[in-house]
Order: sequence, then C-alpha cells, then structure tokens
Amino acid sequence: MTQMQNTQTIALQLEKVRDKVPLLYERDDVLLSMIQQRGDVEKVSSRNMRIPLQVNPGGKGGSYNADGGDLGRGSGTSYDVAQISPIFFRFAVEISKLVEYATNAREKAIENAAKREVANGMKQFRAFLDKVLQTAGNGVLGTIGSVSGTTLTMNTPPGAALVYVGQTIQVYDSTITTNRGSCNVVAADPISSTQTITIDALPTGTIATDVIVHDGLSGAQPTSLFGIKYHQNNATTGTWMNLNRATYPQQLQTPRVNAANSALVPGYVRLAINKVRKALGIGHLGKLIAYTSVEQEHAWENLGITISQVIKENASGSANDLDLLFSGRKTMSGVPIKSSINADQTRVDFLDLSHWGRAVIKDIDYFEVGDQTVFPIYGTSGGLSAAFIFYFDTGFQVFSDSPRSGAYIDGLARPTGY
Amino acid sequence: MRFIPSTHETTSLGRKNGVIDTPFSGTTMSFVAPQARLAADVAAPDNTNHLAIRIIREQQEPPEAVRRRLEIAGGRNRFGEANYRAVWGWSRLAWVGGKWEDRNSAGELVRECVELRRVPKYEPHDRWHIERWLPPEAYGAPRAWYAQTVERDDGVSVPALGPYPERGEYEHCFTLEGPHGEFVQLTPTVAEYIACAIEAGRRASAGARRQAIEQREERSERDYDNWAWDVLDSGCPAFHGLPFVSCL
Repeated sequence: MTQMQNTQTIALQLEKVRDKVPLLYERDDVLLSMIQQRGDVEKVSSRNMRIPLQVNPGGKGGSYNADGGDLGRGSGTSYDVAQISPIFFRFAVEISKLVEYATNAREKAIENAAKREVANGMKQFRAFLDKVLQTAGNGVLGTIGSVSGTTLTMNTPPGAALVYVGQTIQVYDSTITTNRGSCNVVAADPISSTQTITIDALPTGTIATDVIVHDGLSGAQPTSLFGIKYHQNNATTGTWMNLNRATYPQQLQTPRVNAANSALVPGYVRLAINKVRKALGIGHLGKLIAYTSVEQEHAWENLGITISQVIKENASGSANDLDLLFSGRKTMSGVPIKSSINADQTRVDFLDLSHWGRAVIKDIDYFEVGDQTVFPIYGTSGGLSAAFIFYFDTGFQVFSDSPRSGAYIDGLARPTGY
Repeated sequence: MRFIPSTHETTSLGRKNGVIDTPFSGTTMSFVAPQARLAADVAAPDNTNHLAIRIIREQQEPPEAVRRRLEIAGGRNRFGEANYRAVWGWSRLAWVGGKWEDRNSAGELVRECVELRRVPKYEPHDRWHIERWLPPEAYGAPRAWYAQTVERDDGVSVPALGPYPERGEYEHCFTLEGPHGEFVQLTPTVAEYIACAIEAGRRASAGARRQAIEQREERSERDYDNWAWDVLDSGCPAFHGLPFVSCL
C-alpha cells in the first residue's frame, strides 16, 4: 500500500500559485526586467541561435567618364553571423519540516509557508540574475582586493554589491583559469566604503587579485550570462557572440568615455550621447535610457541641475498638475535615468534596449520531473530528511544586435560618502 | 587643431546664446525637392502652381512672462543672464563634432565627413525644456576640455563638443511632458515651480539627497514584497479552501 507523503501535498499547494510565477519574475524594476519587457524574445533550441549582422556596406560609388569610360566593378554588402546559446540557471528553495509544524492551522500554514518561499525565492532569483547581468559574460561577481582570515575586501567596482548572504560562490585566480574552490557568503557589506564579504571557509590558495564567480560554473574561462559589460565594451580583442572582435574592431566597439576617476560632469554625458547620435543619426535618441548606479544618480543630483529625490519625495503629498510633472522621469541631459543598486558604481551606460533581446530555451517555472515539482531530501543514512526542496529554473542568453547603438562612461569617481 | 566651418543647414542660421534666430517667426522652412514639387503640381486638379513647403525645424521662443518668472526664481549669473531659461527642443542647438555619415531617404550612405555641426541638443524636439546655466569652471580648464573632447578622424581633429564654453553653458534640467510623454504647455507657473524645486534641492545637503535615494530604494523593496504577496494571495481560493459553513 502506497502511503501518501507530505511532499505530494506540498506540490498541490505550489501548483496553485504556478501561474503567478512568471508574473513575479517579469517585473519592471531591474535591468533584467527591462530587457525582458522591451527587448526581443526568441525561442531557441539547444543549438546556437544565429544573429546575422550587416558588418560592412556594399557598392562602389564614384564618378565616371560617360564618353566611353570604364565604370569599374561593384561590390556587395558583407554579413557575418553572431551566435549565442542559452545558459541554464536554477534557484533552489529548501523548506524544513519545522516550518510546516510551526503553526496551529495546518492547511493554511503549509500553503503560506510555500507561498512565502515562492515570493522570496523568486525575488532572490531575479536579483541574482540581475547581478549576473552586470558582468562581462564570465560570471565574475567581484575581485578580491585583500584577504584577512575569512574576510575578503573587494575592489570597487563592483565591490560586494553582486553577492548576497547565503550565496554559494567560487574563487578563481585572476586569469579565471584555476578554480580554488567554493564557499558560502555569511555576510556582505555593499554599503560602506570597505566593501567586504565574509565567507564560511576560505578556499585554499585564495589571494588578492583572485575573482569570485557564481555557483555552477566550471573549467577555465567559463561562460555565463552576456551582461552589460560584455555587450557595452570597446575592446578590439577577444570574442563577441562568437565573432572575433579583431575582425570588426569598429563595428563591434561600443563608444566609450573614460572619466579617468573624475566626477560625473555634463560634458561626459554629452560626449557619450553625441557618440550615439552620430552612430544612430540625429533624432533617434528617443529610445535611450541612462542605466547607472544610485551612486552616480546621486552624483548627477549633486550637480544641481535636476530635481533631486529630496524634492520628489516631498512633492508626492498632494495631487495637482504640477505634482504630475514630478512623478515623471528623472533625466540625464534629457535621457531617462534608470538606476539600480546592482549597477557598476563607476559607470553610466546609455542603452537602446530595442537592440537587446533574450534567446530563451526555457521560461521561468518550477523544475519538474513528471508531474512532481517538490522533492524529498534524503539524510546521510539514506532515509528521508525532515525537509523538502523545489527549484525555479530558466534557460536563456542575452544578446544585442548593435553594439554601436549604445555608449558608456566608465572610470567615474564615486561621490563622497560611498 | 583645425576647426572646420560647417555647411550643414542648421549652422547657417544666426544664433543668440545657443538659441537660433531666423528671419522667420516661429519656423524654419525649406522647399521640397523639385521632384516632389513637380508631383504636387501635376496632382493639382485646377492646374494652379502650388507652393509645397516642408517644415524641417519648428522654432519657438518662450513667452516673456516665462522668462521673467524664471529670472525671478533663479536669479542671474555673473554675465547678467538668467540662471534658468526655457527652450523649445527644435530651437536649442549645440555643437557636435566628429565623423558624420549622411544618408539619403533610403538609408544609403551619401557621404562621410569630419566636421562640427550645430544640431538640436535635446529630445524630444517638440517639447519645452528647462535649462540651468553652469559656470565655465564646471567644464574644467580649457586645456582639459580639449584633451577630453578632441576626436581625430581621417587625420582631422575636431572637438566633439565644440569650443570651450568660456561663458559657461546652459544644461538640461527638465523636460516638460506628462508621465506618459505627452505634451505639457509651458506656463509661467510651471516654469517657476521647476526652477524653485531645483533651487530647493540645491540647498539640501548631499547626505540628505543620498538618504532620499536610499529611502526610495527601500520603499521599492517593500512595494515589491507587498505586491508579490498580493499576487500570490489572489491565486488562493476563498478561506484558503476551507468550507464556508462549519457543520457540527
């Protein structure tokens, strides 16, 4: 006789909120969501997605002698193909049996515990993916500046901004070749100027200049999500979506303004915007957003040419026509600002998200085997453990079909106090 | 360094403090291409000679009342000019230097050239923008300006932002438009309110501004949590599936 198990009833409870999972995932408050909502979505198989790019114009223009002259030969447009393949990400949520027992209304408690973990887990999963999206496609979440016991002081950017407490991370050497091992984050301080991470156990051989990457990566030079620093990059070496950057040094370069550790000034913004205007044409700036950190948003406010958050907060008390203006967008030289706590503290990226998209092989959902989405945990004895586990998973990659359609300012100084 | 006088149409117009003045009142006009004009003539049923015109850049000047209110709200700078001003998007031009690619209506490349051009500074072009004057020292020393902005293309050097702003420059503060980007008319009250709001923010300390941004981020987190919980609750049956009537 088969006995009904708790895990089976929990699955029923989770199924009730299943249709809410995508809703929780696709919310317009972080870069990931902006790409999800504004960029293209391409459904792909496990094979590479191919993105044809017109890399060079064709045709031969020139004057000729109509009195029997030779008109010469022609040429055609050159195309090449960028390629990407999806990366799978998972987020595991484990609930102990005690959570279920710690209540006096059984059905409600089980459901609430599961639902709360769905809400928390989805929020954290989105935050994790958004953090990975800030990287250069290699999953590097930070660079170690110094090591003291189990406390790592991180170089800024990105400091300790891209990790969260409880996260499993791995330490690689500076060339991202040697994996020194993994550990868990027990404390992270992305707010103060020290930018420290405390871990449970230091992997053997960890030194300053090593980098930390997210869990699940393996081997030398691993590939992760192609983040903002992958697509918004002016490098002329290396690869970009399987194309050799050296082959198309101009076409694949994103215009850059190097602030050389100086504070944000309007001149830098105008330089960056003008570079985009020259690439896109005058009159095509409407789709740009200025994606930056709260630090640089603060630096922009310090210039005293925008309505600061202090005033916007106060203006929300009463409703009239003028308040409607204040509820509008804060801009940087007319380009709407979107700030994020995860963004590089020393950069401003001007993005045209109409050129960005996702290649999706699996939308966000519960990881499922058969019809089961919740799984038992087994103890070391082989018997059941007093806990169960469920997973969110998704498979996608982020692409851009026009690296020249954006620009970025980097090397900006952080305002005093950060 | 070499400055190339531009031949672009927008540069041939006179200017005053960055806002162009033209013989026309309100708009700049040009005749359409001969082919298009010919087509219009042929299409005219009465065979009259129609003058087809195309507005390529609409210009507006702010009302005097707006200028006055902004001047009172923001004061004057060291050159006796108002610290704040309202400009129409199409009317506000700025120098942009570098390599330009001119294309025809079909998108085909017509020519490439390295030069300085005066082009509309802000988008959207068909909205009013409020600007604030920044002193020349806000742009660093002239040497640093050119070191940062000069671009070299095809052996020609041009300062990408034009000459050093020796008399300072007006920078964008606010675009007058509704929450969904709709047009909002420029009125003295709106202009004054924006200038006063910016000035009030300038008086706040950097710490207060930072705290306000952090509070916004915290509120955003709370809003998400509440919203997520509401979304999940809405997927739950009434009374969490318990019977409506208890039977003893």
